Amino acid sequence: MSLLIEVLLTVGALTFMLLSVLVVEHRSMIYSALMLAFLGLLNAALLYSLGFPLLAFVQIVIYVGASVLFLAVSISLLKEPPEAHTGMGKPVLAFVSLVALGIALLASLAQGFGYSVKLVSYVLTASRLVAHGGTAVLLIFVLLAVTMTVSVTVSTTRGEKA
Amino acid sequence: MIGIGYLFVFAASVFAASMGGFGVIMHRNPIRMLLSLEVSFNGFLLLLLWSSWAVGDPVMASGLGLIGIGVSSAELALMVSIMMALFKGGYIRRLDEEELDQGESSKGEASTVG
Repeated sequence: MSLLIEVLLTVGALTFMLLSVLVVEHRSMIYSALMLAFLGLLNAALLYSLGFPLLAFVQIVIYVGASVLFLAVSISLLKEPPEAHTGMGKPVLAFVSLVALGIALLASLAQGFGYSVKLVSYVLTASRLVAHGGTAVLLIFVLLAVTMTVSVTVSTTRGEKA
Repeated sequence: MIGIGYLFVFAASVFAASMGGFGVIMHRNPIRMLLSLEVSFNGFLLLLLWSSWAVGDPVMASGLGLIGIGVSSAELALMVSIMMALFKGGYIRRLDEEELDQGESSKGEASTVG
């Protein structure tokens, strides 16, 4: 069980490095934005493994679920050179399939070792949220609400001068 | 004693933070720089929380991480909307134009040499 966690952490860390290289160096910005979303998800998994389930939850819901997908959709709406799309679909599909197969294999092995996922209680999550970071969470929600309002306003001005 | 997997996590966080800084320095396209900054943020967030986990005092780092994620998400949304407004206003016409020009010119030089 401990060995399995070590292997999972090592694979996750190596994939984290690979994804960071792909985000920075990939020619297509759409793929870069998608890799950034996967990087955020993997970061959430590593945070969970370090013992920060609340931060992992916030990372997935706010960072990946809202901001990075907003970035990906916005970039995909822009005009990108057609040369940037050539020949990466099949390798990416093969890589994702291999990762999915590996995760399924590891999950079946974990079940064989008697490892089970501990379900997180949302009541406990909410109480921890209020007890340890009430002010921070309030600031986050206010900040996000103001920023989303400003973002929509700026996006709909079509670059006109105020 | 810290396990080898956790040491790999530390190495990955330092690598991602460095890779993001490298991308900010190397690229001139503002969206590429923004993507690189986000990679750097993910690396630094993981490094901060790994350090607090290794030291054994995760409460303060958890609050800092929450604020960091919120600020980074807000900054990302605002920057992307400004980019979209610039694109719609015609200030940015095509993405990666300079990098494509550089790529084509380097290909041309290679074919000339070959």
